[in-house]
Amino acid sequence: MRTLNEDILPIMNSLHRNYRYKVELWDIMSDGAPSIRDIISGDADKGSEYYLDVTSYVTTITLEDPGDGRAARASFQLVDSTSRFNPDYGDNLNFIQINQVVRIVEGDASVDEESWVVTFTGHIMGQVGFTFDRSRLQYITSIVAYNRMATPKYIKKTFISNNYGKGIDYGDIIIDIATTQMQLNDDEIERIETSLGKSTQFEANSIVDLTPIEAINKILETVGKSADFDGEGKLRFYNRNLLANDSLIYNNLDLIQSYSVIQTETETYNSIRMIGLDKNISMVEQPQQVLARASIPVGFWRPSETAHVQWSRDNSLVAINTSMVIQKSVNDAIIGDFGSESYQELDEFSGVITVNISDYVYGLITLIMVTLFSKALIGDIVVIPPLGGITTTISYGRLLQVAIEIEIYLILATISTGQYDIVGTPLLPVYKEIEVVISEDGVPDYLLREKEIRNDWLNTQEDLVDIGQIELIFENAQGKPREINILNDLRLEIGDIIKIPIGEGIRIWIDSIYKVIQRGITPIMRITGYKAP
Amino acid sequence: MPRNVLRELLTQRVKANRIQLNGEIISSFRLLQLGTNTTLMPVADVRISGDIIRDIPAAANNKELLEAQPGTPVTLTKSDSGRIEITGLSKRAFGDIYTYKLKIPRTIPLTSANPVTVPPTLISVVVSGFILRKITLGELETVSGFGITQLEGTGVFNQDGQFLFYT
Repeated sequence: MRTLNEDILPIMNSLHRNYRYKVELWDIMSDGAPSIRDIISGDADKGSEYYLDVTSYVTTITLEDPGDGRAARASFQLVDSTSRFNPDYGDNLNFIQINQVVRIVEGDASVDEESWVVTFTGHIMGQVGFTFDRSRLQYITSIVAYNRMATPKYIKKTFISNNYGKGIDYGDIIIDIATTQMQLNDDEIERIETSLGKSTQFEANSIVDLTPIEAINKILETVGKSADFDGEGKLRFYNRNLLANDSLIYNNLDLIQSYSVIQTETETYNSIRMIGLDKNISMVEQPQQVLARASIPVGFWRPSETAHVQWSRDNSLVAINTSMVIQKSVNDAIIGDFGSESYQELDEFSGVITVNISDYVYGLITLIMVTLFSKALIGDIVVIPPLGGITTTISYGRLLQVAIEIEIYLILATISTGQYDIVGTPLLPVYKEIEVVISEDGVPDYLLREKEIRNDWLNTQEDLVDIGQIELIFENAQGKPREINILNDLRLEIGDIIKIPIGEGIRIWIDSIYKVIQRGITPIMRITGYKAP
Repeated sequence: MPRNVLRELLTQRVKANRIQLNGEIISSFRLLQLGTNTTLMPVADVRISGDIIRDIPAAANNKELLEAQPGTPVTLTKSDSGRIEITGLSKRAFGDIYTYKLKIPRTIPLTSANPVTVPPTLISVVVSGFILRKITLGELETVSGFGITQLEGTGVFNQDGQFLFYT
């Protein structure tokens, strides 16, 4: 609901009106002209050559805000006795070119113009019409303008967003899209909430190939809202939750001219299938495969040999149920137990292979060496000539030979190599979709008309149920359209819920607003809406 | 034309043009003679949301794909006439489907001074999904009789544990 200045607010509840309006044209395309942002912020100078007040030339204005994300449309005629609005050579032809800005301001003669309300800001669409009526000596220019929801950059051009990390408020993401992609300034986004109470659940979140309005609406869907531009040209959110509180309560029927329940043949959805993305990443088992391979040379000087094996260099591969397959054992070539080979899984990323040399090997090698030495120490027998006795000598040549032999034995003792494969079941992390179907109670299966809503920004079952309910109640209400004609009330906007005193009080969610503005008459707003529970 | 009809037409159009689907294979790949000649093609059973479709051919002889285990998410490509084939591995798996009934809130006019609003009420939650597990020795007999299903065969069960079929 629009917040009005306190001067004009009491007039909205009154039947005594001195309705006034203004139509302003802005040239935004000439050199040095202000931008639409400057105009909305109030920074553009109304005394400049780029501003033209055409109120005195305007006849009937039709103002139509169709809702549902479609652009509001204003159409009016400029009538003059000169050809100043001739699009080919008129003095003011600059102002009526395609894309120039039109603003419609509504108010009351009893209050200052400062308090009046801008109810339309948009761009001229297409070529204006022009007729020279010779019998009446009138020059008539017909202009149609659409509001900012028709801006190509917002509704047609797709973009690639920044990457948003974990725990970022959805409100911040929308503000980022609005400022970086739509290039709106602080004034233009002053009406939107900065926090939506929901935040990102994944480390990497980016939006690709959506238009800014599509992206914002997708995020807003998670809180049951939608976005559009208000009369001033500012971005705003409106509620789709029909259970929300009344925005405005009319205590009497003074301002209400008529109320009708519209006959409709519209088929409405009575079932909503919500599909979101679980915030928990799930793991899918992949076929068993060799995760790591190790070959371990063992020798007796190292009693225990360990090898740390990792499935991937950067721990990107996760695996479970790992086990060791011995391709070639250290025991293959030797009779007897050379050593023991074992494997232990350390964590989901790695394990350790251990080969222990058995005592038997130490004993054997040590025994051989000691035996060799002791045998080498046995002196040579030297035969002495007949005069003397038996003399013992040590043979240095044999000792050297033994030393070399020991080295050879050591080498022999070391050369045994085991080859090991670690096999396991790799786990593939995947996103998991959660699906919630909410259908209207009591409707048989064959009468269900289902609407599918996919939204990756919804990450828990509870969220899906909440939003599914809002959407189902919204869709259900579409089958209950209501129409009221009410005296111009500048507070009302699309998405407001008004309560009017008919029966026990009817709550109506406003879907579209249509009014015809004529000189000297207070307009009647035709509001189409849905009956809210 | 009412807005809903327009919107639905648009949705249907978008759906019809959607050529890539997400699915989840619920069996290992096996070879099957699909055409009239004797050529064998790798096929698998695929779950797409709440439905299971049997014997979907794999488009390419992609080794990684053909070795995929039951439960692996895959992408499927749909032809104009609605036939699908498995074309690759995907990043999205399916979870369970929760089905609710909602009593739409409404106001019951008892007296004009005291209307009663019935709040929205969620009723009857049904969880549907599939459980894949190896068929036990005991089940082998009850499900198909000994000798028909292989010992290591995977059974597809619904959320209540009721056996659906084996793959």
